[in-house]
Amino acid sequence: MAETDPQRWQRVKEIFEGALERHGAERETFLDRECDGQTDVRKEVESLLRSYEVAGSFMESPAVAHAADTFVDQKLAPGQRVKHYQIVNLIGEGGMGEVYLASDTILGRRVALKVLPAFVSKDPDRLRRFTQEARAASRLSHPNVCVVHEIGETDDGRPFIAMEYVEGVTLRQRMRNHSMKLGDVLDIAIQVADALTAAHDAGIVHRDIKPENIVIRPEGYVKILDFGLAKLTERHKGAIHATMSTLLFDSSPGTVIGTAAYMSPEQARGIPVDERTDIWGLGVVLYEMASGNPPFTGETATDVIVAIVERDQPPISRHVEDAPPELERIVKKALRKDRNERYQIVKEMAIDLRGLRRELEVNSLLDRSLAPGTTDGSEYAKASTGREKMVETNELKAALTTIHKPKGRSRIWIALAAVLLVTVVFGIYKLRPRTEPRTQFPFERIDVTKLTTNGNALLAAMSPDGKYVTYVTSEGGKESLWLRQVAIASNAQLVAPREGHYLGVAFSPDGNFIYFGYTESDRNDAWYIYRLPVLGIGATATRIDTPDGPTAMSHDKSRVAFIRYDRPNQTDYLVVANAGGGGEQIITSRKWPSRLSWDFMAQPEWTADDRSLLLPLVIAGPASSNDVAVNYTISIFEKDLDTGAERTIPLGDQTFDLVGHVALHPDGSGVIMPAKAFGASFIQIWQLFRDGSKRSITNDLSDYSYLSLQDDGSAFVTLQTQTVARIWTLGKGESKPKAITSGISRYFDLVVTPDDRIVYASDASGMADIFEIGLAGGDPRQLTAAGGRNYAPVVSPDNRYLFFHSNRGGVFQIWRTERDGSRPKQLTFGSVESTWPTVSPDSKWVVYQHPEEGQPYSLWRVSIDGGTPEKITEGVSIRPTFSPDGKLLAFWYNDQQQNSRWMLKVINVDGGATFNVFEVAPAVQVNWDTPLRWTPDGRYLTYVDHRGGIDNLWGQPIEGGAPKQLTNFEDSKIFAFAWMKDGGLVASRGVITSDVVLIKDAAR
Amino acid sequence: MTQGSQNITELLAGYGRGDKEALDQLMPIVYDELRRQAARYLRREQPGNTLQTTALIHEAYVRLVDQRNVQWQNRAHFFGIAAQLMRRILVDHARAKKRVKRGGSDVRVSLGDATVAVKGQDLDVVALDEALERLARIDEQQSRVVELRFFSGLTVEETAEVMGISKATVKRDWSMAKAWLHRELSTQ
Repeated sequence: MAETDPQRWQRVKEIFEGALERHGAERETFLDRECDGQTDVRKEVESLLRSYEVAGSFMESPAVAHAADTFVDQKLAPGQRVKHYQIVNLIGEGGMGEVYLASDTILGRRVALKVLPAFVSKDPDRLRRFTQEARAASRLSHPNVCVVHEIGETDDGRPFIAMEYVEGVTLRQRMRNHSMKLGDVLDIAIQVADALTAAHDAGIVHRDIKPENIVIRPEGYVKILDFGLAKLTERHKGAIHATMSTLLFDSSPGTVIGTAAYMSPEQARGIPVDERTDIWGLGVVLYEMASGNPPFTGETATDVIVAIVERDQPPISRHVEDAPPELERIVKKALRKDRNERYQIVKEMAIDLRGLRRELEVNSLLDRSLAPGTTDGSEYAKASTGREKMVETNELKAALTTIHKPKGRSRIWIALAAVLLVTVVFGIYKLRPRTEPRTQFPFERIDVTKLTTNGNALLAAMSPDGKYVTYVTSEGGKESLWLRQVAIASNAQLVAPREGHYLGVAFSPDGNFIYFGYTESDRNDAWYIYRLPVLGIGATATRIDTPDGPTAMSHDKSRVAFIRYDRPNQTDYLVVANAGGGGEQIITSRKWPSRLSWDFMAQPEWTADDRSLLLPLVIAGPASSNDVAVNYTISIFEKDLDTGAERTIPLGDQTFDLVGHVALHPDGSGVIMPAKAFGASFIQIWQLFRDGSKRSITNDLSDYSYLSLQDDGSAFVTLQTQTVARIWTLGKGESKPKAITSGISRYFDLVVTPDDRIVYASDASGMADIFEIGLAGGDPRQLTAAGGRNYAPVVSPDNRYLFFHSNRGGVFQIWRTERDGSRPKQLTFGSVESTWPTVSPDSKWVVYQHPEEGQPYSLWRVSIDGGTPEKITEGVSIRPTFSPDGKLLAFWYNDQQQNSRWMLKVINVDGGATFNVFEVAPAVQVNWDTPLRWTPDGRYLTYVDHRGGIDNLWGQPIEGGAPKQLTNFEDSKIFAFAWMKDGGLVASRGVITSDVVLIKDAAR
Repeated sequence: MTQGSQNITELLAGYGRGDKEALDQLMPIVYDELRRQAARYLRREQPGNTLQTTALIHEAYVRLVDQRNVQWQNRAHFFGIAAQLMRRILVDHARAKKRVKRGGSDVRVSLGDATVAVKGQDLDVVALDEALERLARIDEQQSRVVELRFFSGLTVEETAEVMGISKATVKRDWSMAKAWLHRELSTQ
């Protein structure tokens, strides 16, 4: 083209520029002269001049204006659907997309839906990072980690992530709105540390721990958001940019420095980061919570970074008075510039934090407010009441609607949106070599997937091939049975909700049937086993009138083996029979209290050559009675069917308080089971091996139960249960309960003392100990610290002694201390436990429950100074309680006749004659923990009734007549309760959530 | 000076020297910044207002670079890079949107309660970009001026500063490029 001739272009340009400065005839003359007969040059210049004349505003507004719409993806409207999620409303926008509240139309739950801009999906590298990060996060099944449900793509190609909808306020908001009490500071830090422990165990580093990423739910539970930055540790380059992008792209200018403030020195240096960066982050957050100020400050991000890299933070005591030295030490250790000098694993830090919390509880410093300005008691009261909970919820609700009221959008969602979405990660991450090379255990590294999230699962089992999971859920007091196809995450209801209770579920060894134990009523022992075909949705379950557990088919399919539970004779048999029926042969048996299995869904395993049968045995220690607290050890029982030889192979000497279903690893090397290690607070998944080695796969604040292992041993499902409780008070005549403890904890067995304090047992710190606290929540003290697990405190009516049961001596026995916890004295002895003490109103006798060897529980009494105990009831009797006038003794009673119903029995203390026996509603679930109390006026016997799925207190008039409902709680469980002298109530209330989790061996 | 900022500055310098990897690393940073800022400005503006891209880039610059320690040369680099990157990004977006919008859906952006018509929809950014490519082959300097002024929204003075040429030259180049590009687009 002629235009491309540079000389000619230069000529055109000069003439054009000259012509532009001239107009009318002058321009004509100019053109005539300059073009000088070069018609093509002249034509070109004139064409450009014409174009210039008409161009007008062409290109005068910048390109961004023209492409503006490309920067703003079309928002999703309420009601619109993204796959099976229906948009409720927009709750936040960040630099990289929007967050919506949506409803999952299949599972009927609320989710937060983060939708990324379309352009992300056009960048395969970024998309890969995004999905990788989200997947990594979704594998973390931890109560303190926000759950990722699904990653997908909208119809118009925008990637989305469906995650748990977390209601609450960010730690940033909390710090802004309230001064932080030391107890809360530690509660939050401990929960964050626990979440990070789980993440780090899974190889995930969060890398962006800051107050904006920590959400505190109304009940005090902490959730960490946005493990979106977290990546599986892998090789990658240019770490600094990850940091810089987070640093630089925070949406509001003021937060730039704020974000920089949480960078670790290694992040600031742009060198690869590892878990210890999160320890730093937690250190910074802890410092800020405790002191009200960030540890590293500066006017610009640069100044802050310089401070992080070079300067030591001022001590917390610079900002607040009386910072505990131990807190200073923990923070200092977390904030060492050289990460080799920091805590090396976050768990160490968690242990120190717990230790500090315990120490402070004893010294009753927890409700002290550290941040300056608001140290008055009213702040504490306010922060601990249910009212504040409402305020926070409203805050969030208000925030949720601010899309139409632009005043103050919720920072949670900004944080939520911004951080997950603004993840430009270019970091280098080396795979950190495991320092301790050791034999590879199965499940050495695990992938955890939560299969249910409603928190109401009760039982779960996996099919032998791992394709199906069956589980029981409870809704409004009714239980239903479900089947989930694991691969496609589809759920089908097998049995509609019913009033009865499921007692166990299991698949048949061929995977074709589901067995379940079911009882139509609450009456103990009236249960049956039913069988349902897996692929027969709509089929009727067949009741199997057999006392036999699930059968295990031999590999050659000629024989079956199972456990037969002969309940009348309290004997378990291991039986082998021909596959076609007949030929039954008893291999071995155990008579109660020894058992072949404690969970009736247990089944033996055939060795590969079908010659021997293996059965895990749970062997009760010296205190062999009921399963309250016995030292169990695990063995593998092996029976050679050819020679008849049998042996019991002990799997180490670890003892357990509780043992759930014990599954054999398919290679026979050992077992895997949910169990509570002796002295531990939580039931965790344990592995024991023939070589004596042991480990717990899980390590968190959950209980696990009902393990079922896939045939090839590569995965199992279990039920993860979490308990959160607070102590509440309800004044007489009041309708709104008031929380007097804050934060997450577990409280059991509380009483109101004669001097109007609350004495309770709690194991939230890892130890079960007895504490006391004022009726208004202040002045907490620890009363026991002598080891063992200590429960069931009662205070003598003269306020002189504290009684409780403790296994500090090995077996649970009744102990007495002075009222302040000093001078412990053991009152009961022997190899069988004595538990649940109560003191007579004249402060002379302790009555408690105790089973003689091989016998059920009955009630006994012993002098408060010890001596020879004396049996005072026959038949099963538990949880004794004296009437206020001391004349009557009430307890739960089971005559073991017919349906073995629990009844409320009242006897005269003098002579022991029966005063009255009351039947109770089926919704009263009597077990060893079920409290029974007299009202202070002696007119009612009160207990927890669970009707409608909600715990309320009911009172049985002592003179007879129908029970009366005494409370109107609308949610939560009641773990323990006691009456104040004036008729006010103290209760430990909270929630227990249980979900089915699938745990896979990540190495397979 | 911290290593963090230095790194960005080094990348800019590296890019100035034609280091391809530096560009790859800078790209997403500027990319996100542009996107974030654009969305923010769009949301902030009243109907009829023009986007202040200059302010946008200045802000990005302030955020990205430790100013006190940055040489003027790097500042020029920065604006140069920003202009190129923004052009690339804007065009990519426009191209992507064009594909999505084929079928003729309404080009309106819902901004909360208000629905704001996006300005200047008549301009085809993709076609302009293609024309600018052709212009660059004829007159590199003019295309750079357009890049800085149109894609980055710099003023004449800033463009002159960044390119190290006189204001008068910028003005002249701008006028001619505008005429040339307009004609290119009109005759397509």
